[in-house]
Amino acid sequence: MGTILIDGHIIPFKPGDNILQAALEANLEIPHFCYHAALGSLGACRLCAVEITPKDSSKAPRIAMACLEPLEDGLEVSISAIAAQQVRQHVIEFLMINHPHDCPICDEGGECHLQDMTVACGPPYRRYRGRKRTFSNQNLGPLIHHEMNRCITCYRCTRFYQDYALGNDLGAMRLRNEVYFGRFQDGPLENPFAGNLVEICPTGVFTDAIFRQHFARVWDLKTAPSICPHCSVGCNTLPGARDGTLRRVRNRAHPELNRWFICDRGRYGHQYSEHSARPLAPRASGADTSYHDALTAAASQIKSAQDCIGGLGSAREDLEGNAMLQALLNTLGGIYTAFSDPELETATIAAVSSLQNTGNAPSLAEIELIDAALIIGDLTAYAPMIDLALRQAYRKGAKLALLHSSPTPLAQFATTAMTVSPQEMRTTLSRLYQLINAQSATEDMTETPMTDIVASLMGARKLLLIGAIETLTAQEVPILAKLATALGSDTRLAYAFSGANAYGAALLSPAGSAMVMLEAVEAGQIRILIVAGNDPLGDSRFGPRWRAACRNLSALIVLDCILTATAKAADILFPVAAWTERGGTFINYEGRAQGFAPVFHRPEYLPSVAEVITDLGQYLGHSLQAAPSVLGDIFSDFEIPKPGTTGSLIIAPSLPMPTTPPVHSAQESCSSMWQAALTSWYGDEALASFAPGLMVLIPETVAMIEPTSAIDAGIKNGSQIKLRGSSGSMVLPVQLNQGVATGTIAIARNVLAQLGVGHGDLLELEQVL
Amino acid sequence: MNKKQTNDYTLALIKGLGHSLWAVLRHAFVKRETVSYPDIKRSLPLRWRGRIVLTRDPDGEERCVACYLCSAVCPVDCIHLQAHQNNDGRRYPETFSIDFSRCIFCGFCEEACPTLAIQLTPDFEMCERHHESLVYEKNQLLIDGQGKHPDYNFYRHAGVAIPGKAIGEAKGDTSPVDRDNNLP
Amino acid sequence: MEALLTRHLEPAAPLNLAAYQATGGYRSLTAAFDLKPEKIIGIVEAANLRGRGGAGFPCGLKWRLRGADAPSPRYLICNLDESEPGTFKDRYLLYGGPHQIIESVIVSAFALQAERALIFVRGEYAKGGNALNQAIQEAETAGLLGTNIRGSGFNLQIEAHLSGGRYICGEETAQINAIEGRRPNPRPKIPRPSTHGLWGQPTTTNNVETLINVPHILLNGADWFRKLGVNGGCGSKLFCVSGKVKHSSLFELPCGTPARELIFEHAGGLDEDRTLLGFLPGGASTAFLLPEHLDVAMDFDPIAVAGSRLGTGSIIVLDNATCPVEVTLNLMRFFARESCGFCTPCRDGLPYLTQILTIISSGAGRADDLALLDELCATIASQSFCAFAPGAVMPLVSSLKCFHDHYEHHVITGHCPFNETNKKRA
Repeated sequence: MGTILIDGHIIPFKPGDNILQAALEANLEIPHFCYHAALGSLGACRLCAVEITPKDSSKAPRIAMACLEPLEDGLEVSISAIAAQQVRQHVIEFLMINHPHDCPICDEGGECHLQDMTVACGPPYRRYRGRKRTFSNQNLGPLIHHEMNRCITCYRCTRFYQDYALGNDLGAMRLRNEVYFGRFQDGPLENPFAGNLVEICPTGVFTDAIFRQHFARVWDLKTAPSICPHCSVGCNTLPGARDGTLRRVRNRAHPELNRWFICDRGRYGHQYSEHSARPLAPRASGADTSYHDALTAAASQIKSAQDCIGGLGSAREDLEGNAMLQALLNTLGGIYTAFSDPELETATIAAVSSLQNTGNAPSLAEIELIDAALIIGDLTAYAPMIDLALRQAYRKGAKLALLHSSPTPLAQFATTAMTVSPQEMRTTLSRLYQLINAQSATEDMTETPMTDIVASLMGARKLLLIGAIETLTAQEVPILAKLATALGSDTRLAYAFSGANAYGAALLSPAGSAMVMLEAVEAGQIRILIVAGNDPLGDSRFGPRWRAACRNLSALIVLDCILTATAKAADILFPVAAWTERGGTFINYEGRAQGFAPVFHRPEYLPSVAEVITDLGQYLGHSLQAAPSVLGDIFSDFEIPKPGTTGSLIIAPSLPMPTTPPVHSAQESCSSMWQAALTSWYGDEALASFAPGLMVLIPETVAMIEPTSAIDAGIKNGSQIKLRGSSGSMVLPVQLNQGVATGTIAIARNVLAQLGVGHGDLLELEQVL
Repeated sequence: MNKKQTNDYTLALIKGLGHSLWAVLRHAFVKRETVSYPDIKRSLPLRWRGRIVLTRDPDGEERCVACYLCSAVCPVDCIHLQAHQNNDGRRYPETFSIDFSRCIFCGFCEEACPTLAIQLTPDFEMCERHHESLVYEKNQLLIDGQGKHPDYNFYRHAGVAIPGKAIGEAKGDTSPVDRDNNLP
Repeated sequence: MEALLTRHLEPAAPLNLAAYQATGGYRSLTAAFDLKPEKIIGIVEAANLRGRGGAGFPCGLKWRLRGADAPSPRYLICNLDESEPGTFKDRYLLYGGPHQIIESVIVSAFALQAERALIFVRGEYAKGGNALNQAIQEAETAGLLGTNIRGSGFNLQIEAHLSGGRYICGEETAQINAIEGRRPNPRPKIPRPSTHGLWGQPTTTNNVETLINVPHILLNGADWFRKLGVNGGCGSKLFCVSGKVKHSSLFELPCGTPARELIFEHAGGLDEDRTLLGFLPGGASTAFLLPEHLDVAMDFDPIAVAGSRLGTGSIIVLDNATCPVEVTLNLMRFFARESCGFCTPCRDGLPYLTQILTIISSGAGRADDLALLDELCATIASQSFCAFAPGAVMPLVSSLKCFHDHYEHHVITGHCPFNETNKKRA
């Protein structure tokens, strides 16, 4: 601790800081390139030269690099000293020797750190009379554009990609002034966080290829503080729009969640709001119509249906939209839920309930500090930024234990990884619980991976138990909670939910209401279904039942911004504002309520779900309260969180742990030994599936089978098999994969939906060739 | 004043008046500076700040690379454009409009343009009857020539590749480094 | 003098283990194991053995500063990555007699109580590296390596590591990175490799020529070693002489032998009708010395006083028909090519200097180019990350001073003062 003097300013510092960190904390700009708060000091660029006046006045002042210079109390530093300026000017001159004449056509212009530093410290004229070295570029995939000529060799990209994000397909090649940063072989970058290269590169070497398709200068973009709508982590983002279209999404720092980085799903998933098939005009009776006419049609349908109404909200809709829909249904005497999948509803409510009991989930910053974790499921597909936080913990020596049914990128960092078939998960977790509670250690060697896991969990000082909700059942969630309690007070519990506002949706949905609603629709007791932001007809497990049931409806009224299967089947369709076109609140996996502001409005104004519901209420003769009041009635002391603030934990009534029995679609007739497991990837999300750039990277559709199970069944790699479920069949090529549990076939979401089979259900396998 | 002084004064007055009248009448026969526009049009210097055009480079391609600098520097925000990228890598404006009812013909856009694309020409004959007609779109701005500044093709100096110029072929560049080799 | 270090070297047919032992090889192990490690360090210190890899740091002091309580495992790295232009002494040691190297590594590792030793061999010396590996096998089979060597209780494993190539691997911390499989960029000075080096463990690096003196010092004593030198120098030194001399060769002579003797007596002097223009005393990254320095003892301190560095003791001779601008350009091209590419002044500054020199050499130089060179050299030499760039600009800075007239001639007249054919270089 202590203070130093920088150009006459007295600056405090923390132990372990260097001069550059202390200066940046105090808002004093020392020009730099290779230093980055997430990556630390490197000392390569030599731009952060400062002059230090020694305490011993007989010694001459010396130039030092601020990023590598340790601090001591009373140090006298000058940024503006002529000698330091001279060094900086030379460094910029050296960097600009080979820099191409690209500024007018470079995407980075306007937010280019090199431009800023050159104007700040560089020489005004070029005196180098030689030629420039050049590089050819690589095709790094649909998301990142590569222009290597512009590189100033600051090494930030490779330090982020290899050291921080633990990727291994991009790095530095060659040497001297021909160092080349690229992929060792041509092809798309594999890491789910590769998009951050766009922000971390101080020049235009790596730029946003999606933004490039419809480019605008950064100073022309309309921005507003927003929250990512693609998963339950709730990263803070800064979308930029121009001329009534959304152009790009950037990171916006949150001190406890995402500080510098977001995942590729969050960065590139926004294309759904500019998708060519996005519903933009209300539809009724099979034709485009006006908003007024659609509301009139909907109101008349609802009035004739009297109390036989259901309202299906969504975990990806904001709190205001869900709450207004619930309020409308309450007024009309109908049922409301936010989940189309009763299993998912029960699991989510169970998870929220257990979180309310055991204390809130840790933030991303806290997850980076754990020393051990038990991870259930493929976390990378549901909450990629939690994966990144776990990678940081792993870098510091944390031991990760992993139970999974299908392949997951975190397996390469796990100290102990066990593949567990979906139907075995419950017994596995129960056994884990038994072993933890047992007084004496078991000598049974066949249980080795389990005993290793138990040992690492019990030896941990800061432990995290985390599961992916979509692949956990309602039975497994309480076991995880019991495990957390049994392992002591330093154990934190967390879940990666399905949807940006899943936590909020669970707080609004009464337990079991999804099944009640489905059965009511099937029985004809609900004749009008209002669906806001949900896709019951496209659900993987329950889709067939919903599709059959919805034929009984007099009217299916859908509010959505993407053309889902449900939207296509709607009798009355209301296009609604995408997330950057409206304001709202999402409650993230911690229970933190965060607000997002509208960034822009489309030329033809689109209302939010909350606004449509309010208008619909008016047309029905009901004057609903405004969303803030509705929410105020549900949650005590509730204030709509202000966008741009850090958000706060929602104070909600405790949810009781649901006791609904497990639901499986008709399995009795199936005598197969094979279980289906959902295999997902970081781009797999309802909204992001309408982002063309991201969908170029979708993994090929195969049936993944564990090698010994395949050998036992006589199935060869690459052969074709026919899978059959309750509503369809499909022929797929086989891919053998060690990351799949025995007796399990891992297939993608769209395949599950076509087969009418859910994660953990049985399915039939027929060999074809 | 006495009578003689009065007479002298009157004489001086009449003389002065006579001079003035003569000067005025003389001008009735002097060559006029006034030019009978539009029968006779004065020639203006090339640097005269009149109608804005978008020029082409010596190879006949449009010079504008949609860098947005003219739009950024314009003091009255009268320039609006949208960049687009060809598959071949060449950036150009898919739309480019200038609202000449706002334009103050200051010439900042011409100064800012790094490719010598946008130029002001000595043409002021732009009157329109309808306000909307004063918003010129790209097809009204783009000319076939190089304008006031010939012999400059920005892409010959930039580092990016375009058809006809691969990476390393710009003026002052060397051929690309072979990245798969560590040998000197 | 009777050769000490090169006595039993025969590159055409290096001695195998039995033959080497017959000449008295591996006797120093007995001498070493009888002494305490601290004592050995003291003897080496008293012998004033200076590092022969270029820096000239006192070997005993380096060993003592590492500290006896360094945590295990401790590493000794024998630096055989000889890439300095003009230097070919380590190659002769490697090809001529790998067992001498192994013996010296064993006793040095014993002094440092290092359980693992690596010999980092220049990639281009692959054949020598293979011979070294075979010699290591022989030594292991004979019980000279492994656990409890000769009952001393000392365990040592030696590995020969063949470099992936390039000059920068000779830098101590870059070499450690290379051994760890990383890019050979140098590391920050703090923490020192002596506390956190290879794999985070205490690591000592010595040049191979430095180490091969240790067995002889142990067998004959520190005083004997000191007396081997002349003019204040200590021990025997391998000198490479190349350039404009009649017989470029490697000579083993007392440390402190003046350059005059090396150039005119042993290397046969210059060609007829030629006079000495200047010479580099210690390889490419040292400063030029002039004929007035011919009688300076070729030892670390006297050469430093004269304004240069002894470095590796590799003399490169220029005569009065050699253009110093061309020589400097050649060296700068080499250094610019060998930069690792980590820090800006070296990576981009050295090619800049090379480009200016190329223009001057081709006759298109301008009057202010010389001042520009000085200005850039000052920043490059003082603001780089490691010692490579300061070494790289040393010949340029000194040639600008020593041969200023030649540079001016190039700039003013537009061609080389000696040789019309030297005018146009690619």
